[in-house]
Amino acid sequence: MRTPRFAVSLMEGALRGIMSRQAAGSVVRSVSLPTITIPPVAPGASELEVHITSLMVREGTLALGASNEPGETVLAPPSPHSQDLMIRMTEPFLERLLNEAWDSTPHVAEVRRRFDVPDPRSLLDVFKGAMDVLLARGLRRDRIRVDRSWVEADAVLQYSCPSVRLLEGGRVEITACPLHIGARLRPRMEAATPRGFLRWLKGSLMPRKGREQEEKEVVDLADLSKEQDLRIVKATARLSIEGGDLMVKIEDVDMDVRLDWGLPGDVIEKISAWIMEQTAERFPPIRVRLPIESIMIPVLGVSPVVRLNELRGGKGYLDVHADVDFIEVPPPISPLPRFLADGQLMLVHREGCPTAHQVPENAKIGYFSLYDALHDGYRGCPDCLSIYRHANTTEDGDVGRSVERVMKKV
Amino acid sequence: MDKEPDIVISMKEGAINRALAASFYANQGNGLTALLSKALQIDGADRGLRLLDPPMVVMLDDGTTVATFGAEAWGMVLGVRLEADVSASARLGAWIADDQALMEIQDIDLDMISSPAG
Ligand SMILES: [Zn+2]
Repeated sequence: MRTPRFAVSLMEGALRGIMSRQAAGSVVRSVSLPTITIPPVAPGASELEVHITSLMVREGTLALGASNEPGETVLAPPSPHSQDLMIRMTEPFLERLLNEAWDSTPHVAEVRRRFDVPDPRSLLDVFKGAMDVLLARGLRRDRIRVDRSWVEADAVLQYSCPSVRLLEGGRVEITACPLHIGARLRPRMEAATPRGFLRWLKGSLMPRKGREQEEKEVVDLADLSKEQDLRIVKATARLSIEGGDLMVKIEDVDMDVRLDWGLPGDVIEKISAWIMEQTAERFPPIRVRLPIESIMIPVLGVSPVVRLNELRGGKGYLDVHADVDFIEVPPPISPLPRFLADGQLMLVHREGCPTAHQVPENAKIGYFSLYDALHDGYRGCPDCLSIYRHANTTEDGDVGRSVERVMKKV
Repeated sequence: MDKEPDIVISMKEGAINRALAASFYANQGNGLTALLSKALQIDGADRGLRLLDPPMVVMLDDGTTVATFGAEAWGMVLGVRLEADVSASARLGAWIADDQALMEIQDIDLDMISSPAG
């Protein structure tokens, strides 16, 4: 049955009237906004909740502002971007993420090095007592020859939570980061002393190359434990994306290292330079799991596949650029299938069937061939493929036999 | 007084359209998708619209959004209920106040697709 033409145009006119601007008036709909829960940015960190607080439509772009605290905010128009998505984080917000991530970052680095001291006299001057021990063994000072001297240093660097400031070009400045150093310092020397008689005898019976007339001994001049609190005055770090995470890596460090460790001046100088270098090198990289997907799910209502592309930043903010995809929408390359199967009711329709309208979207399966649909166990829709409404291929999966059975019943 | 948000999420309309399609085909959706369909699903004593396909949105320079969608529309005329499938384009204004998203249909334009037999 077809609706008479005059009825269609009457209906059209009426509907247009009903839905028109005047009739629709100003239909204002209000919908409560979802809260965005940001999962922990690092293992052990806590969740963050943010509220959508502002909205702005510009040509080709929709921007939403979100804040930790509810209440309206004023959105400055974000800079244009070519990627699907740009998330701008303010400095305090990024700092918050970094602080959360910091807790699960190892803050302790152990370093070790040996410093040669070319002039042993400088060490011997400081550690006079150690020499006395050797002398106490009955050796004469003029018979001891110091071949080498050095300081063995073991240090534990303990970093504390830094404060960050965003700079241009995806860099951050780290300020006021306390650093604690615990060090063990062992000034040592290798001294040659004249051999004892028995050893000399043994040596002459079994002569070795070089015919040494003396033996070497490593002497500990001291074993010092030192603790010192320092402060990284300023450091710059580079932000990057690694495996989908935001990484903060220190590039260079500016700090005052004044060590009051009772060692000769030139040795202290070397150790200070080393501590400084190690502080920069061992500064733990901070990994922040960027929760872009979790930010987008409540906003869009579906979960996107997010690909982080680049970071850009300016004074006081960091922009994360990303592209998003949705697995629910395949690329638009396939022709439209003419048969539509209902995966819930296990029915197959012709594409234009009015009942096909009612098939839930996530139950719709397109078939290019009716044969394939029947083979897969679908029965014909009683409205549009009623002849196959009793088709049953589930027993043998044989469409031909099934059609044959159907035809016999007809 | 003018507080800035902690995060700004800026989305291109291409991505929003793919998200709308994704939530439509997945038969799910909250957030923007639900917001938009709620705004478009006019329900009243004398008229109604029900979405049939994923709305397409275009963000205009004047701050409004045009949403184009297929819908089942119905209206009461002289006590008679009229129904039709329509292709509609609505111009929407959107803003936020008191933790609520507000959407206003400023204009709606209809194309008749079909009217069910009856
Ligand atoms: Zn059908």
